[in-house]
Amino acid sequence: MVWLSGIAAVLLIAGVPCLVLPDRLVLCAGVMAAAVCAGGLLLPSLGLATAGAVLAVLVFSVALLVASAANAVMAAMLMGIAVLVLLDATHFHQRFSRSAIMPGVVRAHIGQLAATILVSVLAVGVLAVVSDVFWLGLYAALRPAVAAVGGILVVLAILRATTR
Amino acid sequence: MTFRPSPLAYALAVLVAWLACLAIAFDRAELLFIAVPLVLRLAQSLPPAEADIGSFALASDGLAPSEGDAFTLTIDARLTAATGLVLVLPALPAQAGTNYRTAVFSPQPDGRVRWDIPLLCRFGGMLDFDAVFFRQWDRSGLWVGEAQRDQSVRLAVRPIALAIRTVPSPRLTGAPFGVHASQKFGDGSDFADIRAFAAGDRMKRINWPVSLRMRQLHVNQFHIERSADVILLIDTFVNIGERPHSTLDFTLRAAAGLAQAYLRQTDRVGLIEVGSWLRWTRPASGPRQYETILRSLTRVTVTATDLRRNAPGLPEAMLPRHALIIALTPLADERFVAVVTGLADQGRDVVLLAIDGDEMSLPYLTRRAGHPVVRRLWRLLREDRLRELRSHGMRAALWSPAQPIEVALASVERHGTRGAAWFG
Repeated sequence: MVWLSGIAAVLLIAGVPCLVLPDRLVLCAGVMAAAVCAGGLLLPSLGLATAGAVLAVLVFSVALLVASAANAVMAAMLMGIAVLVLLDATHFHQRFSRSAIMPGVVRAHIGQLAATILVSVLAVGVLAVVSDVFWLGLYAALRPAVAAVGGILVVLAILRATTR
Repeated sequence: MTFRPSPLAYALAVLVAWLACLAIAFDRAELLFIAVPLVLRLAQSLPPAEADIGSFALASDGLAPSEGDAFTLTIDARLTAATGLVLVLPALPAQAGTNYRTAVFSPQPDGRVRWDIPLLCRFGGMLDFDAVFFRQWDRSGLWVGEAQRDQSVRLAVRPIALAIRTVPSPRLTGAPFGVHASQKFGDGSDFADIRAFAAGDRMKRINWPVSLRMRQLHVNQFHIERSADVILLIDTFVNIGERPHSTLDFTLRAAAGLAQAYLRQTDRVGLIEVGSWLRWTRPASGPRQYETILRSLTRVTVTATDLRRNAPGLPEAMLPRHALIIALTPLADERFVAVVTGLADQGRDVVLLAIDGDEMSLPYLTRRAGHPVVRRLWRLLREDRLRELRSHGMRAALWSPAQPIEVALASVERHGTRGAAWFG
């Protein structure tokens, strides 16, 4: 079951950039990134999967930049969920690939993942509505600065949470 | 149990930071939406409270297993504040065969984790279990903590005794009440000779056909049946091959089989382990002695050492002059050969069973050393070595574990018949 979720994530990583820019080169780049992700899932190596996810996000960003699509929130959400599921599945296999998996383990794990995905979909919906309202009233030159402040805050929060 | 961030936490952090950089660089807020599931996952995971292992028990249902037997090792623990998955990693020795050496659990509401590990004793020896490691994650898998608990569980895994029906006969016998024909005449069942009747001879011993022919009373004489003292000498200097198919394993099985066969004949059997350690079991007879010898065999190990450069001296009290000494060796260490040769030179009754380790050594040989010509040369040298050992008066034979041991023991008897004249 965890394997299947990982494979679905790899397929999503290969195909989602084409939702933004349906082009053969984008597909090729997406497939290459997905291949690295698949390598990470099969080995299993969380480092390789992270590298593949970084590459996939870069492909998605370039596709977004070239396409200059008005609104790619849905595609971005799919990409985010795919990356999360991929890393989660890889981490699971890296930990337990040689272990006896007792009853209830997979169910608990998939349940936890499904809950995160559900909350993510809701959060993205709320954020999309809020940002649309906020975006219209924000001066264009200030947008990168707001994004930068948000990014820095997120990184600081993560650092605070992960180091004690 | 102190928790620290897991690799997944770092991976998510890296990706979130990367997405923030891309969003700023490309001036696209949509990229931040990719980070939403990742940030939510990180936000779900607060550092968990300190957890510990409340109770812990390690137990086995195997009392005295033999090699090849299956038994169950049970790990029962109760973890306080267990929220996520728990990985149980018992330190299992290579001697214990199992499909899985670790297991992952979703703990019960009270934090209890119980694992019944089905294990297989791959070879004989002492089986020690002590440390069990627990690795616990929080619900999101972003925090991980580890703890260790120790409890000693020790099992003596007995070697399987080879089925042996015919064993080498001793040249000298010991105490009465046995099955071996002594040189002395008396009450027994093995016919020895006929002599003239003397006062005090029993009437039932009179040989009537001979008496009628000779016109004088003659009586039959019989060999007294006595038991023998047998000392099993085990070479623990060298082990060739990988267990459970190494020379040591076949040595232990052969020793157990020989002990069983001799004890069944009411002989007294002792054991001496000659190697880095010199340990012995005093000769005795009966079923209890078989248990003692099996217990001693489970303690036999091969430890490589250069401390003992010369052949060790054996305890005289352990080696009665009339004892049959059976040496089991892969014939690969000069120190053991020196011990056996010394015993034979003292005029003792020595049987040497050389265990053929050719097939077992193949995986460890270089291509040149494993060449058929080199191996054939090695076999010729070993044959020459066996001939040299026989010249010292001992009965020696080569046993290939692929063949039944009784073939080699029969060969020992043949060599013994030829060499008996030397012994007088």
